[in-house]
Amino acid sequence: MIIRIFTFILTLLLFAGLTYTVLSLPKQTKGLGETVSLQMHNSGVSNPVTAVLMNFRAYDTLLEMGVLFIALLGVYSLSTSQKEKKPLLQSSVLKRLGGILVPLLLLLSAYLLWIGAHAPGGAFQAGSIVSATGILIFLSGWKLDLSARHFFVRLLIGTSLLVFLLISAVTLFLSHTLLEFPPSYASAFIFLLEAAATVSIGVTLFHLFLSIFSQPKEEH
Amino acid sequence: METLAVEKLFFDILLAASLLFIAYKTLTCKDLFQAIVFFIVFGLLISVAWGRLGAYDVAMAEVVIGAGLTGALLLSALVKLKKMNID
Repeated sequence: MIIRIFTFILTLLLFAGLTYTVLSLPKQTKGLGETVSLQMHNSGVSNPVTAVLMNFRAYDTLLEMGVLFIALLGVYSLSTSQKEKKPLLQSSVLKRLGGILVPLLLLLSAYLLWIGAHAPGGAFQAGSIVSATGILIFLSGWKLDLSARHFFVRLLIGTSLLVFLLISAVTLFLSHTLLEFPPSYASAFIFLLEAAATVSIGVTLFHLFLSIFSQPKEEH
Repeated sequence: METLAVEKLFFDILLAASLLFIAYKTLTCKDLFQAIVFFIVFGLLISVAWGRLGAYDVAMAEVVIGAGLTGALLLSALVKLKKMNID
């Protein structure tokens, strides 16, 4: 009972604090929208979100890729050898549906990656659809070994970090500033980065899912 | 035009109310499987809310990751828990 009252008071304080913060926000904030729209012609893309994520603040995206990579390493260090071979769900409907959905999902992911330059979309959305496709393949029990024992799969996981570092080095040579793209090459650089990020995000998120299943059953 | 604004307001209020309700159900639900399903529904609804705010990028990411991937992860964790007989 005392704990409940204590929690209630804490929640009430948090609520009061948040309400105060919201009410004390300045009425007119200019934000950075104007700055972004002034620089859009230099960014190589026409979607402001992609311009910010992949060009103006590409450094943050580089670090995000690093975070994803390290998170997966952490999960790997906890999981043990990958044993489970048999499909989890024995459903012929799922199998048939998978055959139709997998190509469609891959197409959708490629579309989202491409359209990210002009409209909402981009690497993260496309990558998560890739990982959903991987989960579908895994659950419907296709004979497709996607575990990280293969060098190729590991390479895919590291792709985006490698490409990011490579492009960082190239931009350092071209414009003497890290990840500052020259306007004429910006769209090519951004597409390269986004394509690599899509692959890596897709495989990484899929492997987060896979590593839960891969532990041996008779643990205790 | 007037009626459209009223309809939008009604829709937004309905959306906000159902979000709060689903959030409450997710937290208080006794059955873990039900809680996960509520969580997925919450993810779907909140992506509609992002869409209403005009943030289509976030809405898309939320639908795939918040509802899809996290749901799948939670469900697989639940299967794992049941296999290990931990409640």
